[in-house]
Parts: sequence; structure tokens; C-alpha cells
Amino acid sequence: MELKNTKLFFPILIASGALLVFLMRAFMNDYILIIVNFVGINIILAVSLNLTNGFTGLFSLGHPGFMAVGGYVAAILIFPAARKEMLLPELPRWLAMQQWPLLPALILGGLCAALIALIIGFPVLRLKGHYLAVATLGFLIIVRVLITNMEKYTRGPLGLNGLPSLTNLWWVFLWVVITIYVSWKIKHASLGRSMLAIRENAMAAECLGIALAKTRITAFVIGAFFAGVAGGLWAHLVTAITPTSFSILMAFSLVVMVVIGGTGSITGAALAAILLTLVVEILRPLEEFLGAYGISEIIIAIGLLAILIFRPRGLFGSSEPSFLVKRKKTPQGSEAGI
Amino acid sequence: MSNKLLHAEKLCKKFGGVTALEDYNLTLEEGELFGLIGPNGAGKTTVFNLFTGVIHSTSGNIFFKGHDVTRSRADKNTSLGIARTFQNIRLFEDLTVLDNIKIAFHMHYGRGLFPTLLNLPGFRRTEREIEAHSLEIMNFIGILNYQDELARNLPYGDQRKVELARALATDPKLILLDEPTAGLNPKETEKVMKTITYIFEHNKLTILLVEHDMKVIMGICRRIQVLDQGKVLALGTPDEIKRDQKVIEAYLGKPRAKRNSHA
Repeated sequence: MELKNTKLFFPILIASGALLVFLMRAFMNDYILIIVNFVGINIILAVSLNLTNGFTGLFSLGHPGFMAVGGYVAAILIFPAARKEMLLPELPRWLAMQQWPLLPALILGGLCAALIALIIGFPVLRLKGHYLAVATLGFLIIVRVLITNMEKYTRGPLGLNGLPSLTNLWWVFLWVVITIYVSWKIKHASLGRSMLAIRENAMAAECLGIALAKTRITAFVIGAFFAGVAGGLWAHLVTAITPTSFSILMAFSLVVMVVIGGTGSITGAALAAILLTLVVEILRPLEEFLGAYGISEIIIAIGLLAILIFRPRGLFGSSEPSFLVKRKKTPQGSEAGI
Repeated sequence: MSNKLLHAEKLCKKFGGVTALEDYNLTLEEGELFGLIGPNGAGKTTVFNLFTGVIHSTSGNIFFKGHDVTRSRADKNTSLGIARTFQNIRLFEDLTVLDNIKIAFHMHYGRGLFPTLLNLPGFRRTEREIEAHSLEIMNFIGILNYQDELARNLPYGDQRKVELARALATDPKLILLDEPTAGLNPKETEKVMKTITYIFEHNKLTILLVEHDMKVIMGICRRIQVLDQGKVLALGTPDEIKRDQKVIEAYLGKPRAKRNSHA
């Protein structure tokens, strides 16, 4: 019996990941650890965006908007009450008194992002293709404008700084595992197949009894939840959060990860997230050395073009590498047919 | 009323200024194989789209099993028991044939988000059931050997079979077949028609068949309706239709002498 067919395969995978985290925390310097944290957060973002854009074919550019929602909610909840009085004197009393630990704040941040996705989902998800892309882009801009103007809660364009540095590799690892588990489980279940069906052919899916609006909103809301969580992790890694942190550029680079990985492939999205984050970090010293800033963007753009030309369906297409998926034995049924 | 499965009255559909269908009436009895023919652009696909709920009529009513489904959504209609195939095949091309069929079972068997994520026993059982039923239907239609193949890679004739299997998997009372032999050669056509007759007899279904090919439809349908330019031209048995002057004119044009006399 092959390893992949045992029930232990995924636990073993998670355990080796945990061992890796342990070793990295023991032997790596802080600079590298921060980069690894960013890699992890980008995996969460790419894999969750893949659920919306990849599985269900909803071309959303709104992911950083949900990150911003989750990030700010978590930041306001976690921020020490004493310092909140100084930084945000006008905060309502009940909110100023809150001083939450990381995990519940992340979850509530994610839930707020999910709630907003649910509300905007009904009107926005009626749109398709590039109309949807423009609408979600509009959402991202609205979120940023709101945050900039809700000075009572957010300190406007100044943002919140000096956030407690709570995010560490264990938290990021935990959420990477949860995000991948959730997407994996959905993809290989009836729910995920109905999402893929909508992406492939919405009219046929509808005529097979799949409720389009409900399924689309489900995918959108789950994606938004993880974006919100990732926003909270991000804020407490960088220890600062401003409205400009969540840019259109970020929306594009997340979409690029999904496209490079292959729309619909979880493994692809995760690997593309690792690859892209590392390329930027590795090229940074080179940029500084040559004084040629922006070279990493050019290289990524060329890489993207190359992939679109030579592998238009991304590195993995829509599927997962075969060594990860249980192959069913083909039944040796009679070729009855008609 | 008892054996009246589908009833449409005074249906009218306008696209902007174009009237695609006008004053359309149809009553399908339970268990009949009914043919719908007409030249290109006669409105046959519009009838299908209205019945399935893909589009909604400008006026008129549709009743299915006594329910008013005039305004109901396509997925609701499917769960009531209306299934269809498409004139231009619409498979989920990047998914395997097995997954194509499994999707049709989602409506009746599929579980929601939380049972899926928590891997509850009920969820695992339904996943097994979906798989077993899908394989059963694939075996019945004769596409079992393709289960792990991507739908896009199948030959045209077999793609039609996958569509048929998928429609059957929704457990329909009524199947609407939109030109199931379009683009097939005579041999494949014969095979598909045999499959259809077999399904019809075996599953006790009601079938509404749209066809271009007169020979095909004359051979297997007991009642036929002819559409032309959005209007019902004739309704009757194949023999009556064959002799109907208006039908002959719609298909072949008016005799010259007659046309001159009109001018």
C-alpha cells in the first residue's frame, strides 16, 4: 500500500511542516523568519483567492479589501487599552476597553470580512468576468476611502502603528494548514465540484440544479474570511497598518499567483505564492546593488508572460499533482452500455 | 389533468423588438415522446429555454406537474424534474467525465459547507452514494471507460452521451433534448437515437425532442409540433405532418404558380 493511500498521509505532512517551523525558529535569523512569515501569509491569501477566482471563476480583485477589514478589526481589538486611549481617544468606550488575544481577534476579523462579502456579494456577484473585476476593484477603493475617513476608529491616513508583534511562524503555520485543509476538503467534495461546474459553464450548472447565486456567495464569503484572517496576521507581523497597505498592486499580485499556479489548483496557488514572495525578496539585494529598483517586477512580469504563452492554464492547470490525490481503482465493470 | 405533465399556454417571448415566440401552446402527456421541429430560427431553443427557466417569458404561463413554473429559476425547475441537453454541447470541459456526472447529483445528495469541512459521517456516506450512482449511470449509458478522462478530450458523439447521462442523473420526469444528433454522422445519429429510445422505454420518462432531421423525428415520435417564425404551424401525428400543406411550404417554399398568383 502506498503512503498516499494511508490515513496518515496528511497528518505526516502537517507534522513535517511543524518540524520545519520548529527548526526554522531555532536556527534562522529574524530577517529570514519574517520573510518566511510573509510567504505563509501569501499562501493563505493565494489559496483562499483561488477558492473564489480559481474554483468558482469569480474574477475578484477585492481580496486586499477584505484583508484591510480583517486587519483593522483585529488591530483595534488587540491594541492595548492603555495605548488605545492615546492613539484613538475618540473610540467608543466599550471598544476602547477591549484587549483581545490574537486568535479570537483574527477569527472575528475574518468573520467581519466574511459578513461584508455576504452583503456585497448579492449585488456584485450578478456581474460576470471583467465587470465583476471592476466592481470588486471599486469595493477595494471604497474600503480604503472609508478607512481613511473613519478617523475615530482608524486614525485615518496615519494608520495604526506600534501594534504588538504577535504574529509568529506558529500562528501563520496554523492558518496555512487550516486554509489548505478547507480548500482541499471543499474541492474534493460535492460542494467544490458544484463551484467548478459554475466556472466551467454556468448555464449547464444551473440546468443541473445548482443554485448559482448561493454557491457563488459561499465561495466569495469563504475566500473573504481567510483574507480577513490573513489581514490580521499581516498587521501584527508588520506591526503597523495604514489604508495604503492594501493596494491595487497587491490585488494584482495575488491574482498573478493564482494564474501562475493554475486557476483551481491549491498546490499551484501555494507554490506560486512561495515562488513570487521569494523572488521579490531574493532580488531585493540585487536591486539595491545595481540601483535598478523595480527589476523584480519586470522579472515577475516576464515570467507571467512566459507562463501565459507556454502554459496558459498555469503550472498545474486545475488539478493537484497526482502523488497527493488518492487514485481510485478503475472498476472492472462490464461494458454494458447501450 | 392527471396525466398532464407540462402545460404551456399563450407563451410569448420578445427579445427587444424581435418576437421569438408568439402565442405558443403545448400540452405534454406523461410518458410521451414528443417531437418539435421547425426551420432555423423558428423558436425551438427559445421554447426550451423558457421551459427550463433559463429565460422567462414576456407573457403566458407554464405549468409543470401542476406547479406554476413560469417565473421559476432553472435550478428549481431541475429539482422539480425538468432536465435538458444543449444544442451546442455544454460539458464541464476541464473536469473528468466522472465529475461531470457527479455534479448532477449535487442537487439531491450534496452536503453543505459544515458537514463537508467537519467530514461528518453523513457527508462521507453521500460522497460514496454520489460516486456509486454516477458509475451506475455511466455504465448504463456506456461511457464507463472514460471516467478519468477530461470531458474535452472525448469524441463528439461520446460528449453527447455524457450530456445525456448528466441529464439522466438529475432524476428527471421530463427531458428536453435539443438536437441531440446535431453534428453527428448517420451512424452516430442512429446510435444516439437508439440510446434515446432505450432510455425512454427503460426509465418511463417523458421526452421533448427537438430535431432538424425530419427522418429521425418521424421515426420515433407519435406526436409532432411544427414551429415556424415563432408560431405553431401544425400539430399532429407524423403522417398528418407529412401531408400538411403549410409545413411543406415552410420547409420547401411555396409552389411557383401559387406564389405568382399571390403577387
